Amino acid sequence: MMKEKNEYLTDLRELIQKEAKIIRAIASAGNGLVQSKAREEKNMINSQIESMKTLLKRTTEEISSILDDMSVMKPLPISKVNIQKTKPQKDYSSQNSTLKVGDMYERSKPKKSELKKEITDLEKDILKRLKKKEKKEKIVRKKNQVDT
Amino acid sequence: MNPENIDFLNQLANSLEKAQESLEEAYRRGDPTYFSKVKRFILQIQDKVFEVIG
Repeated sequence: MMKEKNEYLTDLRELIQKEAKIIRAIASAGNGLVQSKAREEKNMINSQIESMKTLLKRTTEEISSILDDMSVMKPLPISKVNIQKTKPQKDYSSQNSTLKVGDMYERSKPKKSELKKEITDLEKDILKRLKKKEKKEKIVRKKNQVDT
Repeated sequence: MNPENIDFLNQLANSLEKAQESLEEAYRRGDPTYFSKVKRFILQIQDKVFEVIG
């Protein structure tokens, strides 16, 4: 489980103070070892130093694990690109008026200018032929009317 | 352990405490470069301590 930022700092401070204390105690015991002449006394101090070494190892491991868990991330650079504000879309569902079919048709109906752009040469030819056909049919109908 | 090593151990203990303060500062400031520098220094002190005490 991840700890809070302050928890890491408190734990680390306590452990490092503990570690420094142990190191000083070992140094002091080492000083006693240098000064003592009796074998028994030396043995006693040596065993004390050994137990302090074990404690120091454990504390060092705890510190290392905290240091591994602690991480400092570089803040992301602030982007200078301006994000354009988009207009909020109308919410049709919330409006009281009902949407008519005619309205939908008007919205989807393309403009004439757009239509012109879409007409290809082939389509133009087809339209011409259709117009000619219509003219011929009209002439035939008129002739038939005159005959009767 | 000779008297020189005893002095050295005391110096290492002092350096460790000072390094802890610097590490705390780097962590609060959010300075990753300084943080990793101090962290490495602390680990080096610990290695040195074990080198001296054997």
